[in-house]
Amino acid sequence: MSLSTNPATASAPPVGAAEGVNAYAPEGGEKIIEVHGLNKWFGDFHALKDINMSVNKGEVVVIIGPSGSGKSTLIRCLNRLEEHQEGRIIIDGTELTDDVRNIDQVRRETGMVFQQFNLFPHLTVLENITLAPTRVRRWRRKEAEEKARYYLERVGIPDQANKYPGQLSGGQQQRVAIARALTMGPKVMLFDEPTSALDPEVIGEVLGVMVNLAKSGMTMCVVTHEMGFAREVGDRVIFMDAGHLVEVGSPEHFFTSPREERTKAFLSKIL
Amino acid sequence: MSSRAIRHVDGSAERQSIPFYRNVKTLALLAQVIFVLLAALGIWILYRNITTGLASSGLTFTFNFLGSRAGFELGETTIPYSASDTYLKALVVGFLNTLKVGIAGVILCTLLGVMIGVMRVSANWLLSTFALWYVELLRNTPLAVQLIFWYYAIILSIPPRSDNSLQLPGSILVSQIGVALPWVYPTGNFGNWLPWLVAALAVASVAYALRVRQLRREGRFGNRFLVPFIAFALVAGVGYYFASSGNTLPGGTTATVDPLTGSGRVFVDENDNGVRDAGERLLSRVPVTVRIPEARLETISSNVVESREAVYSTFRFPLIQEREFESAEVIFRDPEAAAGLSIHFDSYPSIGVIYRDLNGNGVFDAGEEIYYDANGNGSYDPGEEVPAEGARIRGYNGVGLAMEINGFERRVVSDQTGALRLPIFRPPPAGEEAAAEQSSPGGLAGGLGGLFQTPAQSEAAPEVEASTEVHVPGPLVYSEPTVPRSSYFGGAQLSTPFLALLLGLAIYTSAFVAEIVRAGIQAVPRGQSEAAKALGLSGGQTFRLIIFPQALRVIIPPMISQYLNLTKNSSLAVLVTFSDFFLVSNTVGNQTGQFVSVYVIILVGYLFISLVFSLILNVVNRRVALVER
Amino acid sequence: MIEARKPPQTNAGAVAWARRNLFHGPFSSLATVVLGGILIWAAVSLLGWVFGGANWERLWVNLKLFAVYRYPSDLLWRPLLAVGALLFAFGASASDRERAGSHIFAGAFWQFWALILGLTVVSIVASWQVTPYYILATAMGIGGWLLGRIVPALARNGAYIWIAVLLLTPLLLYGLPWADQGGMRAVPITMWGGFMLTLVLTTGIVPSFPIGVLLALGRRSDLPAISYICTALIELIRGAPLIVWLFIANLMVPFLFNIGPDVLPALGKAYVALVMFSAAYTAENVRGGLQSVPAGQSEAARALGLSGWQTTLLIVLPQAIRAVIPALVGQAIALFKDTSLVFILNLHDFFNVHNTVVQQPASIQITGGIRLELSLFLAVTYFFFAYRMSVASRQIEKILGVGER
Repeated sequence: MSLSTNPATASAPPVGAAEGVNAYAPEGGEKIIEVHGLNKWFGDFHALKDINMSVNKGEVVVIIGPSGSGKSTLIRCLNRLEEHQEGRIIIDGTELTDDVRNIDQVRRETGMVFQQFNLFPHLTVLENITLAPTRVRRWRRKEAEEKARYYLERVGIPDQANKYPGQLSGGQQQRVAIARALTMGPKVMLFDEPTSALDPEVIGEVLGVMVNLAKSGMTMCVVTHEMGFAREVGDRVIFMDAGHLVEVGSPEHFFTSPREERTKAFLSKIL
Repeated sequence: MSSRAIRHVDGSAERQSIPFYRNVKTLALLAQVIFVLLAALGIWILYRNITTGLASSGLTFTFNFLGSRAGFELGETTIPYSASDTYLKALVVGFLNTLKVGIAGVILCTLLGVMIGVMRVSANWLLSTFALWYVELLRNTPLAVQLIFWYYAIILSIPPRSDNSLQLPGSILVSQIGVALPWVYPTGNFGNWLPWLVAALAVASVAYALRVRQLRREGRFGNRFLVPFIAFALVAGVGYYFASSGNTLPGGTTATVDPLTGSGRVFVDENDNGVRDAGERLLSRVPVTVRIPEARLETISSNVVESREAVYSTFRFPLIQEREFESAEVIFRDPEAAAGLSIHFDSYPSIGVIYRDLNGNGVFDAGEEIYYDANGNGSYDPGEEVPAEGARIRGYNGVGLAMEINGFERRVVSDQTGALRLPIFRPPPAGEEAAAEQSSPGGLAGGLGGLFQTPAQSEAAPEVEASTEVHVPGPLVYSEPTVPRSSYFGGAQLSTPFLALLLGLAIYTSAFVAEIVRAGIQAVPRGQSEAAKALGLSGGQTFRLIIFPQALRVIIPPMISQYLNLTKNSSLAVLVTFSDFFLVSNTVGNQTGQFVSVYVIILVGYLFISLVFSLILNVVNRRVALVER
Repeated sequence: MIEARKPPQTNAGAVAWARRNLFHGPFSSLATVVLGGILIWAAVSLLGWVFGGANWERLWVNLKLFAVYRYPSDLLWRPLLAVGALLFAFGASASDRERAGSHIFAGAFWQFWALILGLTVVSIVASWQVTPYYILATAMGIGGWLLGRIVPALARNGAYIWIAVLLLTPLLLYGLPWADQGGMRAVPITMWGGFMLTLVLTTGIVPSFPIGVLLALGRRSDLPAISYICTALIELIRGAPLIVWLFIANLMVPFLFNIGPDVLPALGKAYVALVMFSAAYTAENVRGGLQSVPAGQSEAARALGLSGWQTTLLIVLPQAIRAVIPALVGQAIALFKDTSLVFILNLHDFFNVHNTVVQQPASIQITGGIRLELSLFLAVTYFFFAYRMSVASRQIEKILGVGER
């Protein structure tokens, strides 16, 4: 895979040095995700420690880190698949609180793609995609199906609409999952290790879809180990370890001159 | 947009202002509160209805009745019980009966089920097909129907009365009364052996630990149980020998027998008067040899319908083995009344047949036992052996018979209450007027198996001479079943209802167990047996060392729930009138009218059993999980 | 290039088959001989008894009792018409070739139809009074099937036919509640019995299903109070045997609904007990299914913005129930078999009728009784229906396995 460096991101300054750095987006942008002082525990285990970050509209943020570092937990907090105990999360102006209305609002505006695809095996591809628009957005079936076919076309599998997920390859399933999230018209897309469960030869097709999506201006938070992707379309890269944000910077910064020892150690293992 | 975000960030006051009907936390709490309130309301309504209902029928919810006299007998008791005991005791007996049939059923259904399950995966077409249909037939038929089938299949295929029992090898007696087998009981001297047993157990444990360590050090497979078992048997055996030298009986131990009533007892004759006076202690599990030099047994013939085609006139004497007497002869008590009839009595203790030697060949031929009751008086009259038109088939009914018996000698073991039971003897015809002799008292315990010569009952039996010899029992005593009258005495007895229930439950559950075993074996990946074969293990070794241990992990948890099902299904005992927990509770409910209390008792009883099983299941699951890690 | 060849034919013929499957090795040969011998002996003695020693006369004269017990003889056309209506609906939906799994329906339909056809032939030969209605029922079955073939729309909307039939059946069996004269007069359910009652009780599986699903959802709930209460209820019911619950229902069901002890007939009490008992077991089956649905499924649904109820109803439950359909059919079979325990409430279901027959004076006179004959008859009949259901369950399992892949 050959990915060229995105010139727009090269200028982003490296931010953060000590433990618990901030990952606030560059000023001037329209903030669509804001996280302030986020703390999360699983029982006694402190999973997220004082996370401060924000994402501008149209920005692509890549979160990397060793397994168990809390990166999946962080992204799952952003649409409240996990409940946080301290701190504030504001998505597109709506704060995630115990308020049912806010939670519904946030989930409607964020799309999520999972490592294990999580397509509904008892529904066809088309039904998978149209389920939420018809039930949540209350679109008419015809309208939803048109949208669904449009996004299937965009992810490159227009002819699989009436198959069941079990009949598709892993790469095809993940592209359906992306189409399913996009059809709801989200303002933010969250990707939780979208290529980790895929065979090496089909990773490219999923990454291609994600690159196109990033280039179309979608706001994206991506947890991944695909450094090529980070380098090509990432605006900022966040390195997490043990529940902390350890280092934040441009892809260029990360791949040429990482500052923290932990970052160096991690990158030397996966690159 | 960004201004809106900032407003939220700054407006922390807004956080508190989520209306309760939109707050996930309060909604969750509210849902639970409503649910609990509804549940409480339901329970309260039920409680109120029950109390008003009970009050209207003049009953109160109480368990006081448990202390009153039950007044009904139970067909099956594991602990001593009689009608004069309390309801509570009756319920305990029922509960123990449920446990008894449950435990026996679990063992039997496991053996059967594993066998059928392994057959199911056999490469032999006949075995696997048979196992398949075994499972299908049994799984798809109600247990109630199967119980009825087994009960009557058993009942119809075995002799109806105990004195006509089938005798299987090993002194096992089988009749519709039940099955009696020889059994070994601990006696009053068991305490002498106990230290040796404890020592044997300790030695075996040490041997086991050493053996396991040795096997681990040498890194090879081997039998871990053989050496400890031999060690245990050795120590226990030697201990038994040495312990026996300390065997004693309380001084003055006496056995009395009244041959005319067939009853006797073993007791401590404290005042040495040869009779058991009030307060003198009865001794259980003491072996006694009873000798009766000359006496006779009497009976009359009766019609027993052996099958739908044939009616025989048969007679029976109490079951006596050939080794128990010197000579015996069966004769007609009144030869004139039985003119022309002959006796067919093969061997002791078999049933005898009365027949008329129609062809005069001197032996019994088929058909000669049947006669036709021409005058309809219900018994044989001379001349009726000729078939008459339309007459009903009858036997030679009501003919008196006697067995002259010389040198009768039987070893019996007193039961739990210290009682002995023997057949009812009559005096020999010649000696009817002769006074019975009594054997002289005296004799001392001399070494192992020492004996006491004790007088037979002094006044009660003047006509039949009987003597008893009390043996000093070892730590264990071997008791063989006998048939003094219409029921068994000695040995261990299993009633027909118990056997039918046990068989029905075990066979029914074995079908489910077989399926679990099959599924477990098939759940082991094919690669496992391929790898084992590639390593050069034989087919048997592959199954024993590789497949079965892995299958066991899948098998055991569902197996335990099948065991629980079996125990719960034993409540169908009501169909074969086995006195299990449910049947006894049912009876108690019907007698007292305290149904609500009885329901509570039943539920607590069965929930207790379920709880025990699920505790076992949890422990097993945890161990399985540990092994897998 | 080497042409593809057929394999050499070495393992053909009966002898080769027997050597491979019956006599491969000494142990196998021994097992074959021993088991074969036992089976032949058992078959010979069983057949000898069935055709020689057994007395089937009492069964033959009491067939009506076994079928419907004390249902009035002049109204027998009503249950038979109900049978015909059920066969009609069955035939109509079995004839739809389009639907997935139609061969399962068709297989079951033809077997039940053949059973009724067989009874019709017996009825003609024995010239029973109800012969015309047997013929009618048989004709309705085949008619439904043919109609479904001719008018496919009918077959596709089989659900409506089923609903109509299921509404009609109780009407036919019970009659008009206000009528005490004539052909549609009410037959109080205390007069119901026999196999008809067994089937009526087995319908308890239908109400038990939604109750069981609710209990399962309650037990899996995140809210501890709901979870504890549902768990306690399920475990309480499962902790005691069904026969105990039937016994308890006799007194407690009237208390539950605050009615007099004699208002509700025994059938109603038994039905409540069977439904609740079956619901507790269904709940455990469904719970197993719920556990088999990966957590990612509901997370994905929530991430798409579906509400909790939508997630449960549209995503989790359909998958959970699909996973446990075989277990649910198993539950139906178990209930069908367990209805035999209603004898404890003195109901005369198919099983308990045999006690009535055994106690008839003419039966008592038969030496050795006729329990063995009757229990064999009961076993064969129960087996026919239960085995048919388990075959269908296995076919469904196969189809589902293909769908999931």
